[in-house]
Parts: sequence; C-alpha cells; structure tokens
Amino acid sequence: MKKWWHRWLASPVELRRLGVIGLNERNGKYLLPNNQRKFYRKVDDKLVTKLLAQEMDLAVPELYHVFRTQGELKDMHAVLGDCDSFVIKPSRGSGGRGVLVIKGRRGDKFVKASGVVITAKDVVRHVREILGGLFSLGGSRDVAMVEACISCHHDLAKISYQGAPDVRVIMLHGYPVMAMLRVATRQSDGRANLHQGAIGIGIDLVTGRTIHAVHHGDSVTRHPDLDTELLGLYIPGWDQVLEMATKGYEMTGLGYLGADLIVDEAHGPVVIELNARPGLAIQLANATGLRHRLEKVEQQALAHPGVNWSDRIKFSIAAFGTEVQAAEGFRN
Amino acid sequence: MFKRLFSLSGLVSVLILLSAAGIIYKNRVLHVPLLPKQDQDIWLVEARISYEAKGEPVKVALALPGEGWENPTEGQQISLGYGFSVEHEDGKPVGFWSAREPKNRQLIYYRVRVEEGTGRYEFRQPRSAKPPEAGEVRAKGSLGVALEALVEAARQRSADDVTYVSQVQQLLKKKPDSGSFAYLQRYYEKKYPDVWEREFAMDLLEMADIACRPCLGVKLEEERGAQRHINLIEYYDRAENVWHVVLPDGGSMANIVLWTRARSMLEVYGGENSEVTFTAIKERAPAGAAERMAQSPWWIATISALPVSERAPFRYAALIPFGVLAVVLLRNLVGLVTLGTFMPVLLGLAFLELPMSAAIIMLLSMLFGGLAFRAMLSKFNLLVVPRVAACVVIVTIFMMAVSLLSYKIGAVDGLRVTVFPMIVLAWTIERMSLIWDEEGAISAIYQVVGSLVAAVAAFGMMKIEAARYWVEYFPEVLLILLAIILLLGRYTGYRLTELFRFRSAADINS
Repeated sequence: MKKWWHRWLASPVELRRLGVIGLNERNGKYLLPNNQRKFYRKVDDKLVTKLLAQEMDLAVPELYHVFRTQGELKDMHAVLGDCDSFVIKPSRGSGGRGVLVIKGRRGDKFVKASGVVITAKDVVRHVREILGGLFSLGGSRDVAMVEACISCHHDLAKISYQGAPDVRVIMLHGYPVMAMLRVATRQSDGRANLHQGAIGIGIDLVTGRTIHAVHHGDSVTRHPDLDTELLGLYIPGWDQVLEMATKGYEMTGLGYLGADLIVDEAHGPVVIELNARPGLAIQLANATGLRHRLEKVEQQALAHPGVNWSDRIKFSIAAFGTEVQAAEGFRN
Repeated sequence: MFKRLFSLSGLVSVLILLSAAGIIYKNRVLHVPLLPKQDQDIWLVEARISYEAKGEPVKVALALPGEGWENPTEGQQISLGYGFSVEHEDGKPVGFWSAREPKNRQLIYYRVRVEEGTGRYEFRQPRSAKPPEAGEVRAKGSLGVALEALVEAARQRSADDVTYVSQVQQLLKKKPDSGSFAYLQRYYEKKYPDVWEREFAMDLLEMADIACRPCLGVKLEEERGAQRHINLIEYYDRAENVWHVVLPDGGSMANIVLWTRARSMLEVYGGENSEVTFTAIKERAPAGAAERMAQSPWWIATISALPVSERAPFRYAALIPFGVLAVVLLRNLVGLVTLGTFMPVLLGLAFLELPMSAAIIMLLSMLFGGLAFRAMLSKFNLLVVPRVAACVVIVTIFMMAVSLLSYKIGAVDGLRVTVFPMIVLAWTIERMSLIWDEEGAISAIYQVVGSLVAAVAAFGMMKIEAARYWVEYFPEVLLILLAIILLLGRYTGYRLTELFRFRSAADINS
C-alpha cells in the first residue's frame, strides 16, 4: 500500500499507530494541563535550578561565583583565583548562547575550549555583556554564573565532535518515559540541538545502552565525522542518571519535564538544566512514539498518586523495558 | 447545568446559537440578504461638517445635492440639538442647520444614496431664460498678452465651443514648459492656491466668450477615505443650448458625481475653522434592508447605524478576525513557522491597501535592507531595546527612500509604503537576525517565506467580498469565528509539517 508520497509524508493513520505525538498533542494534552505557569521560573532560570538541585542533594557543576552587578567585576581576579578551567554562562540564556568555556591558562591569558587564547579583559567584557542582557531573550538584565568545567566521561567524549554529549530524560508525572543521548557533530558546531545537525541516540531505559540513532531524521549507526560506533554503548552511571532525572519532578513540580545531564569523568552524572518544553525529536531517536508510554503513565499516576521516585523508576523499567524488547523483536 | 455551560463545547454551542439567532432574525425579519448582491452599486455619500463654535447663535448652510444624478433620494441628516430645514436658492437645494448656543467642536452629518452610473453631467438651459453671457476677464499687460496667445492658439485648433474647451483641458493636462504657459501657471498658482487650474481654465473660456461657472463634485471611491470635494466647471455650449460639467484638466468623470451646481459648498455663521469632508462607501445591502437595520432596536447588531466616516475604520479592523483565523489554521493545522505570531495579519492588512506584488517587493527590500543594517549593528554588541529602536529609525528612513524613489520613477504605489507597520517590521528584522545567527540563513529565510505565505492567506481571507459584507451587516459572524478558533485550540492531531518531519518513523518500524 506504499504510495509515492510516503517518501515525503507519513500518513497520519500510520503515525497514530506508531504512537508518535505532534506538537499540538504535546501542548494540549501533556504540557498545558500538567505544567503550571508559576513553576516555569524554576527551570527557566539556571541559577534557581542549580540552588534547588543542591537543596535536593543532586549533583550539579560546582558554582564558583555569581556576578550580579557591573561593580563586582573589579573582584574578577580574586574570584577566579588560580582556577584553571571554568565556564561562564548567563542564567537565563537559551540555546547555549553566551556560554564561555575556559579550559586552561597561558600566563595571565585564558585558553578557550576551541584553543583560542583570550585576555582577562575579554573575559570581563563577556561578563559585562551577560549582565547587560545581550543573551537573554527580550534583553532583560541577567546574572552571570561562573561554574566548574565538566570533563565529560571518556566513553561518551569519544563519540562526540567537540562539545560534551548530554543525556535527556523525558518524564511525565515524575515517571521516566524516554531517554536519548545528544551528540555534537562538525555541522552542529558543538551544540546538541538535533535540528542544527546533532545526532540523537535513543537509550533503553532498562539497560542504559544506546539502541538507535538518527541524524537529520535518517537512521545512522556510525558518527558521520568520527566514524565511531554509536549503538550498544552503555551510559556510565545510568542508574544514577535515572534517579537524578526522576527527582527533578519533586524539585520543580512540573508534570511534563525534560532533564539534561552530563556524565562527568570523576563525579558521575550532573544536572545541567531542566526543560519545561522538551521537544519531540526523542521519538525519532528511539524509533518509538511517546503516546503509548505517556498513556500508561497517565493511568498509573491517576491510580496511584504520590509514588516515590524509586518506585516510579521501577514502574517505568517494568512497563517500558518489555516494550522496547518487543519493538526490537518486531524490527528483526 | 452551569458546569455544562462553562465547558468548551457548551460555550461553543452558546456562541453559535447566539450568532445563528442574530443572523436568522436579520435575514427573516429584516430581510437582509445573506450574501452581497453583485449587480447593484449603490453608494452612500456622506458630508461631514465640522467647526468650532464660538458660543453665539450658529447658522450652517450646506449645498445639498439635487440635480447631480437621476432619481435623487432624500438625504438624511444626523446632528444633535440643531433645527434643520431645506430651502431653495435659485432652484438649488441648500440645507440649513441652526442652533442657539452650541459649544466647542461641532459635527454635523448629511448622507445620501447614489446609484452608480446615474450621474448627470449635462443640463439644458431653459428656453425661457435668456442665454447666459460670459463674464469679462480683466487682464492687462504681459498677462493679457500671454492669455491672448493661448486663447488664439486654442481657437485656431477648434471648431466650436466643445472642441475649444477640450483644447483648453489638454493644455492644462500637459502643462507645456513653454514660457508663456509657465508664466501664467505661476501667476494663477500664486493668486488661487487651491483652485488655480479651475480659475485658469475659466479665464481662458471666458476670453473666448464661453459662459462658465464653478461647481462641486464628490469622488465615489472607497479607498480614499475622507476627501475634500472636487472642483468642477460647467460651461455653456451655445450650439446645443446645454451646460456641460467637466474637470478643468479633462480627467475622466466616470466616478465623480456632481454634488451641487452652487458656487459655494459650505457657509458657517457664528463658527470658525469650518470644514466639510466627504466619505463615500459602497452599500452592499439593498437600500431598504440597511434602513430597517439602522432603525431596529437591536442596535448592537450592526455598525451600519454609525456615520459613514466613523464606520470607515471598521472596514479593515473588523476583518482582522478573518486574518487571524487564517493564521491559526496555518500554524496549528499546517505547522507553518512564521516570524511573530500575528505579524502576518498586519502584513495582510497592508496588502489590502496596496497591490500585492508591489507590497511584497517593498516588504522584502525593507526586510533585507534592515537586516543588512542590523548585521552591521551586531558588531557593536548593543543592548536589545536600543538595537531595535535603531532598526525602527532605519526602517523609517527606508520607507522615505522607497517613497521618494517610486515617486521619481512614477510608481504611485510606493507612496503608500507607510501602510506597513513600522514597529512590527523592526521587530521582525530583529527576530529574523537572531534566527539567522542561531539557526542559519536557511531557517531564517524559511520563516520569512512562511510569514509571507501566511500573510497572503490572511489577505485572501480578508479580501473575500462576502467576509466584508458579513462583518458590516452580520457582525454575529465573528462569534462563529470565535467558536471555530476555540475548537481549534483543542485540536491535538498532527500538523501537516509533522507528517514530513516524522516521515522516517514509518520506515524505521516496517
């Protein structure tokens, strides 16, 4: 029954059978009813997120300092001390804009992640721009966070072209529903946004191994720039990743939530940011629609409210692990 | 019961019922047709008199239309606290409004219906009256010589009164650069600033012994909005024994109606800064239906009871919901990405006032010009608000440039470039350049194209003749639009672009 136009368009009937959800459905059925506006502040401001996470004993990149006013910039040298590597980022920036990663020092100059050497004056100017609101949408004033630079786990670093790969877990009512690893490519320029050319790799919730990868909507098995194998890779500290992501629900109260984590070489997984409007590309990365899982969770949450995080993970693993195996069986 | 009413489906049903009730009432009881009649062209022409009262008794005289077209209907006056009477001066109707002590700024409206194509431009001189005589032109010295030369030239090239007049009209249309004409033009422009063409033409006619006098007309054109009257001339053709009404420069009289053959339009005693403007709009419902509706107690149900000049702004504003519906459909059903949510609607409104091709070219040139400037600005790392403000200034300068340029090359459309909302344009440029930086040129251009498509669709919706008719006579239709938009707010199915986005999902699983 394949028609010529299936090359370009999927039929709605088939997408529904696969359980793929669209933006209208995400917004209308999951986002608007479950995410209260007043909680958005907890995830849109990275500083607030970080403080909340610390209260919950979730690992986050260590916060060295927060610059709030232009006057504090005098103390720059005292604040940085002899710190070799650090990250400066705007608290309310979006899409990775305004993030300055310093990997080392050369004399009194700083070396950026890309190898470019800049002076202390450049660093001060960057902070000034953040405070002025250059990177925050709408140009409102912002604060600049100085935090520890994460050194990504070598297992994951080897499949990414610059930029640390991050793990995204999507949750409904605090139940992990689906997860993926986002890996930068030469084309995505170190960023992890799929529509800018990053690779999305689906992760099996049970085993923590990568199962399927897409680049620009097409299935791939090897990294296009590095030619490394993308599938069957274990995410180091997977149990911890799930635990930390799941606790994000208690932290924010947001019913539909995405958690972004990076696995640090020494400290294990750390929470980078939380997202109240996570995208839908995760379905392509996992080659699975979200709807069946979301509906199961919805029933579960309705029947058993107030379940703690470890039982929620148990439920998800029991419910979606078998589904993944079944889907894989179907594929073979 | 209440819960039911406040559920979405309850609300939607209430909206549709209310709207249907209004429509059925108007259609069945007031006999307003559901669709505009195509073949009729009735114009509603309204004179709007305004003046500042000085606190003393006031008398306002306005020349009323009488002979300008076949079957003149009786006009309607709208004023507060005035006595009104119609008197005839030399057989020409004049309306008199009087009041003892009006204060501040005063408005008086007088409106009349005109059927298109029934204008009269020829009037037979009564046989009993003695033939009119041309007035005497007193022009001496070089002025007289120059006039004589023009009169002689026109006389040489004409056979009778009619052809002589057309020679004069051609002269005024071409405005030759020759010395004597230019000299005369300067003289008349200085002496009669607003009506120099009329006075010039009349002097040339009278010097050839052709009797003539000024009269006043109104242009039937919706796009013009409020307009001043048009200066006309009527001259006496001795061979045919008739008066002809013409434009001094021989322009087409096709959509001009003669309002009065009296010399003056308006006189106000006891007030100052008086002015009369005209607004003409097409009446899309039959005359009777509009009357019945205006008198119906359900005043809320129609805006046609408003004075014409106050109604004109609604002509576009009330169409916005149609454009908005188009945008909702395109964004939530098709999944089109646009720059700014309702920016396309504002563009669509601009398209209503300009030819679309000209509008798109102008828009794109302003957009990319602004973008180039914005790229230059980004070097300075300006904060957002000053940056957008700078863009507003640049867009304004661009608009002036486009106007000037198109005036120089003779394209009139460019002159109305100001219909583009400047602030919206500046923000559009700002957003576009952000997207350009963050997601690349392809994404930015994709969104511009999306916005243009949405703007054209919104324009298409607002352009529908029936839509314009409905908002004017069945504003209840807006409740139905509201109901549709509310229902669309609950649509959770796929967008068309998502069928493309997830096209590989189907392959992977089969």
